[in-house]
Amino acid sequence: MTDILYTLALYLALLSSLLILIRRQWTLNLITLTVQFLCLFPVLRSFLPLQVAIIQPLTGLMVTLILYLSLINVGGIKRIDLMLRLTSGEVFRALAGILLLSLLLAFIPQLQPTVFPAVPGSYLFLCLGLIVLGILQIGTTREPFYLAIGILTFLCGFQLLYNRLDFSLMLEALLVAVNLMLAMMGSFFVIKHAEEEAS
Amino acid sequence: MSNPGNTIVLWILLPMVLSIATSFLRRWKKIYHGLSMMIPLLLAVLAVVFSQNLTLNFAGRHIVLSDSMAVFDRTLQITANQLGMVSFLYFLCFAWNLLDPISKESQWFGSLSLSITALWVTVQFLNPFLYAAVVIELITLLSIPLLSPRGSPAKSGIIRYLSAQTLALPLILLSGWMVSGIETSPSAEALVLRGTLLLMLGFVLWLGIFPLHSWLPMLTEESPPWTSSFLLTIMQLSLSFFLLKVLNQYGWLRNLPELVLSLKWIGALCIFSAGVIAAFQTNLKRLPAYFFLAETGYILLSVAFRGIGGLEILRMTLLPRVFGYWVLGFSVSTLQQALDDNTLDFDSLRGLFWRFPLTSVLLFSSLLNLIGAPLFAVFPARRVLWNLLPVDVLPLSILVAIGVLGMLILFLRLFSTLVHPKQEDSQELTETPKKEGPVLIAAVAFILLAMIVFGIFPDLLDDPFRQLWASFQNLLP
Amino acid sequence: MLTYVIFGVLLLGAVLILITHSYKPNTARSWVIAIVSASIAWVASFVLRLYLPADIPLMTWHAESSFADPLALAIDYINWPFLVAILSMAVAVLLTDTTRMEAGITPYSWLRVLTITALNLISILAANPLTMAISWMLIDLVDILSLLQLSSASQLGSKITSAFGIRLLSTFMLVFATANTWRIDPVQVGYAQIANASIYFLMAAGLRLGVLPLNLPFLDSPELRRGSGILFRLMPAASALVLIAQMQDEFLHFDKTFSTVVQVLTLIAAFYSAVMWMTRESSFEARPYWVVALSAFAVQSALNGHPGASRVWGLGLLLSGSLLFLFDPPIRRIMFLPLIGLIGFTGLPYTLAASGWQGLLPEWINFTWVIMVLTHAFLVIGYLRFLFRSESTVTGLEKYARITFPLGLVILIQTILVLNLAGWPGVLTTGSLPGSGISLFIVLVALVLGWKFGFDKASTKLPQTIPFYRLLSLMISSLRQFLSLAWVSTAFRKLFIALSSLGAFFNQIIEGDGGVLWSLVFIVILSIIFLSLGGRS
Repeated sequence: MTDILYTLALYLALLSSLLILIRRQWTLNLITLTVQFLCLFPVLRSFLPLQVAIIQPLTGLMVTLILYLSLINVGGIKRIDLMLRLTSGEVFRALAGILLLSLLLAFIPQLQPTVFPAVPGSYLFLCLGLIVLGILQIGTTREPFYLAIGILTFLCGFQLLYNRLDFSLMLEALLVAVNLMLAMMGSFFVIKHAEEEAS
Repeated sequence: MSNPGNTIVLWILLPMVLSIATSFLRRWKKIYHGLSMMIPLLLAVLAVVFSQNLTLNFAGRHIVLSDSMAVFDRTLQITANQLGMVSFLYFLCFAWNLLDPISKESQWFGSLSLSITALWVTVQFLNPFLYAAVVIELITLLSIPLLSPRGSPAKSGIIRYLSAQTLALPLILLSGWMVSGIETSPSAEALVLRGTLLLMLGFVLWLGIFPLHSWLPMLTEESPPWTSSFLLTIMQLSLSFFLLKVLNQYGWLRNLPELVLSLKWIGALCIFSAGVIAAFQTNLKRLPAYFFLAETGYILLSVAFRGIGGLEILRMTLLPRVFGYWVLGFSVSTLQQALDDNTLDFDSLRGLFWRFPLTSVLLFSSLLNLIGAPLFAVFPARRVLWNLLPVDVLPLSILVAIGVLGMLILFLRLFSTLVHPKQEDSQELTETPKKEGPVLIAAVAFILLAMIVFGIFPDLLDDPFRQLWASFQNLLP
Repeated sequence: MLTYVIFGVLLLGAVLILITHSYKPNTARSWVIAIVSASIAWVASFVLRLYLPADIPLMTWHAESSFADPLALAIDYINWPFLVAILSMAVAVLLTDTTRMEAGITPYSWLRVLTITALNLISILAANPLTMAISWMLIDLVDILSLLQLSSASQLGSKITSAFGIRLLSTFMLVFATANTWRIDPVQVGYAQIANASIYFLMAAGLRLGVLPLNLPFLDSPELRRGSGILFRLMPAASALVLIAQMQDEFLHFDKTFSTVVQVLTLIAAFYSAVMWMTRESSFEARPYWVVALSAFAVQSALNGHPGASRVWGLGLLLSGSLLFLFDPPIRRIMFLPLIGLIGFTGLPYTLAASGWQGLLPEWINFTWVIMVLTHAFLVIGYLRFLFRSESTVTGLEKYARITFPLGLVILIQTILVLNLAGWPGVLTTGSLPGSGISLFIVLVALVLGWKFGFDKASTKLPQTIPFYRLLSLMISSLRQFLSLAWVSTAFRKLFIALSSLGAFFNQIIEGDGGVLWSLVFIVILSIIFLSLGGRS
């Protein structure tokens, strides 16, 4: 049962991240970001005690909340339109994301024993998957809000990886601070953008 | 004897708290500016006072500070011989806050600059030291409101800056994990190579080293000049301290023969690329970025020449370099305010000398100073570094010489732009009264005088920091 | 001590003029202060002759580190004549300024004369290249700022940037040249160790003098045409000439082929400038060519392994040159005064420039020998030509100026004579009898021809009097165009524009939308390079 939940959470997190990369609708992105962070819990719980494993997902939820509140303030929360046709950019990002994940899947069997022998293959796939999807998001956007989400995804993947390699409470605390600051930066840009639009 | 606290509280936690507290006083501008200026000055002075052995005899009381504090499962430690660095960073914060009221760029500058300085101090003394990468990410995030204040759109420079700093974070942390067992493992060549590579790439991204420097000119072009000059200056200097710390801690890295050669080449390439690219620039606000890039090159060269006194040169150049950035930032900021023009394209600057002669002279002098012209503050130490170059490889000297030539071309283009007005404006400019107020005139005259005095008596700037590298015992001869 | 007195008096005079003139303007008082200060310094400079050589340490940079850098002044037989020369020039300018009061000369001009003289003294007395580089920069900044202050936006010529640029380049060349010598002797207390990098030093001096590559000193601004302007243009050359003269005799340690190229370029610069000097309409227009031609003589002397011989050509440039240029208004009755000044550079036996032939002429008569003698003769002919065109009369002068004006010229002549007799040990020499003799013969022939065809009166008659004038004129004009190096600056401008577009394209790629991805590509490339390097080692 734990294994199924672990695997399900792993792929759901990656799928959420992929969705964030592809679709740029604020409401949908916030929901998928929440899902992504929630899915980290079963994965982290597999090797960390409960009180520690909960830190990252909880931080993620707070981050999402901060972003949500800012979007509400500027009237950015709208109904999700799933039927909206995919644009060429979205198709490109989807294909690029899938390609990168496939490449990862292909290379992880060689990479894992040589560089990260202490990290299980599926776990490594999740970490590196989040990292590459985050980088792709950072590299393909000029909008600060998505940049913040991209960085959050990227750091999320990295934090997962590092927790497995060399867990440290201090580092965890620092990364929580970074996540919260990132959320605030995202909010700052959302509000700034709304002010500019209004003026 | 009393033990009122420790170094961590005094130079890291207290400034953070004070920074938050002062931010609530923004409405009372004079008090706010006064506090923003006095707090870092006081912290810098205290760091000097306690730098002997963390003790102070004052009014019959013997005050002793403890030097470490446990945070979570790790420790932060600032010892007496490291206080020179602390003092330097707070002095830098003071210097920028001193002229902040003139620049009028951001009302948050006073409080945020204090927090940022405190965080850079943290970077130097966090243990394990590579965790500092996360603190640097925090600093980056904290500087966003200063670099992209409300009312101005967020452009790609800021995004690029944030991306570069974020990408550096995992590289540095992973390198730390990768090399954690190197010292005890005799056959770890592959690990050494990977670790070095990750570390170097991390620094390349942090400092905006060529060819990953694109965020630098974009950022300075988009951001308020006074603020960006502070952030870039404190970042460059803190990162150079941090680089020394890394070298001091990692014996395998400092003894790597390829490292010295790589640093020399990277340094020379930075100077070369900065000069060559700068020679073609047409926007005044982008120029500080190229000077920053060139100075990064000089810092790396100094570190590379560690074996023949490079660290001494690095120390000698620290304050003159800061002074150079300070003057350049001030002159660009003053011109931006005077013209009420955010772009500062060369075209909009034509004939400016005739309207703002002193500010123009200040700008010329600041450029000449950073290029390393004789008579100015940077020259005495820069000359020593130039002297060391031919000892090694001739192409290095040629790259540096071309870089300097590029900077000279840039200076002459700017000079020509400022003194030659458009044909149709020339008569009008001759008759236009000069538009510089007495405060500005006094400030400019004082700065120019200081620049030349420090150029003739360089030891004035070097003497206070002779013990700066005392904590890097492994790097000293 | 005496050196400090000289600096002190000059600077005190400048400060006094500034204070007194700001408080209560009085032109006569300011002039008296200026002339008294300059005269005291001038007299003191002669007394200094008794204490040669002398070292004056100023300070040591980074004394407690391993990179100690001394700043010092020194007086020896090489720079003392230059010291006397520029102080004489300052006194002469102040005395002859009395005839130019209507030309916008103010007490601030005299303040500038005293300041610029003091600053130039530092560079002349600089004991090592570091001190010289600092003083060059100081002089250039003061020079450019006063020029900007004197001019207005509409008057400023476009050459100001290039002239300033060349000066900057020369200073940086000097600094880099010093860097080159550092590895041989890190404690640079003098010029003795500059042998290995001599070509860079020579280029630094050549750039400043306008010889390497040929570039004419900036003289466009009307303020620089007369009086103190002459001082501002000639004085900066003095320190470059000192630098050349300070080089060691056996200094040519660099590539001989390269040295030959430099020598040919200098030869062309000298000959071309002499021709231009001889054929210009006015002495003002010809002035830059005088500077370049005699500077080229100095550089040539150094290239021939006799840098000491360059001293006399430098002194000729300064003293005889100022004598002619300060002879303004050119009063016919006292024309004999600048004529005496010719002693300074005719090179006849036992005159000041006699020892200069050693550096200028090869041992055997060859092409270079002929060109050099011709060049020298052309310079003398040009000098005489400008003198013989004197037309003013003494009645146009104020009473006091009738005394001060000739006195100013006499000061210069007197200096030439003193240096001729006691400038340095061995100054009295026969020099090259064939060289000076043939040069004198050419001058005499030219004088006869000139007298016959009336060259000295009006150059409009030239076309009728010279055979093949049109062909010659075409050749000279083509040569002039080639040597003016305007084509080089055009080519550079075009190259710069082309490179700018390339740079803009590169910027676009790096800073465009795909910039971050490009950065990642760069990371990968760098990693591969590093890994492959590591793998190889």
